[in-house]
Amino acid sequence: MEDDRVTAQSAAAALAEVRAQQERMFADSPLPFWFWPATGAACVVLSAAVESRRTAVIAIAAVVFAVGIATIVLTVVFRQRFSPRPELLGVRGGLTLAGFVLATVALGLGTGFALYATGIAYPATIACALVMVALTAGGPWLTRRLQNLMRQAAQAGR
Amino acid sequence: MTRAKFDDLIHAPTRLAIVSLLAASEWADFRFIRESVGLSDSALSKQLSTLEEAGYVEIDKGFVGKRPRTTARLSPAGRTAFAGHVAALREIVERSGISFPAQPA
Repeated sequence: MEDDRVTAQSAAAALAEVRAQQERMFADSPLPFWFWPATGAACVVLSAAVESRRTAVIAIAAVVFAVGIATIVLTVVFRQRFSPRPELLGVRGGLTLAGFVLATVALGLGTGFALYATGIAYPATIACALVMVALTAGGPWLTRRLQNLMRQAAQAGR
Repeated sequence: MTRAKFDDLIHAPTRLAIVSLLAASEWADFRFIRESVGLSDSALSKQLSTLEEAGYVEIDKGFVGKRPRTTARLSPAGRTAFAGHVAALREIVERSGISFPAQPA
């Protein structure tokens, strides 16, 4: 039995078009390739400055850090061409995001304290550098994972 | 549970493509919509105006820095209409027995 206005085949084609448009939306990363290493690098710069214990260096680095992070964020914001509905993240997306943050914080703090215990110079800076590597490698994975979850949620009609 | 309700306005292929994009977003840039559905500026403007007159879409003209930017978003009525229309399409397909890719969980 079919609706008078549309055949089953054309209804299926329409649903396929809906799916295709929503696939397209989540196909490309919203973040430029340099976002994760740049964010990590800003933290390394600030950390190195703080551990130098030189006031002038800390002051300059703090400004560089603030300007750097603001530039990174504003560049991403200005590039943004659409905003996915946040509710598409769902519980799984929230847990994935929280897990990623906790893992990188744990990596940074754990490495920093472990290196500090060894007496090595600039332990926090080394830890931040390791976190920068983790962000560079893991950040794109996180972005793809969240995009997949949102795409699935959109196609499920949430 | 979404009530299935076929919507002739949304069903037109170009408007369906536009509304499908907007349904997954809070807002979308005019240029992004234009590139995604493959329309000219004037053709897209006309379709968005039709949807806006029906109360399904809200259009916002603003600035990002000094650059003008036009964005569109689905209104609550538009989201309801889209959800109802998709439900109606699914019912038609299911009743016919045609297999359609299963919805993701």
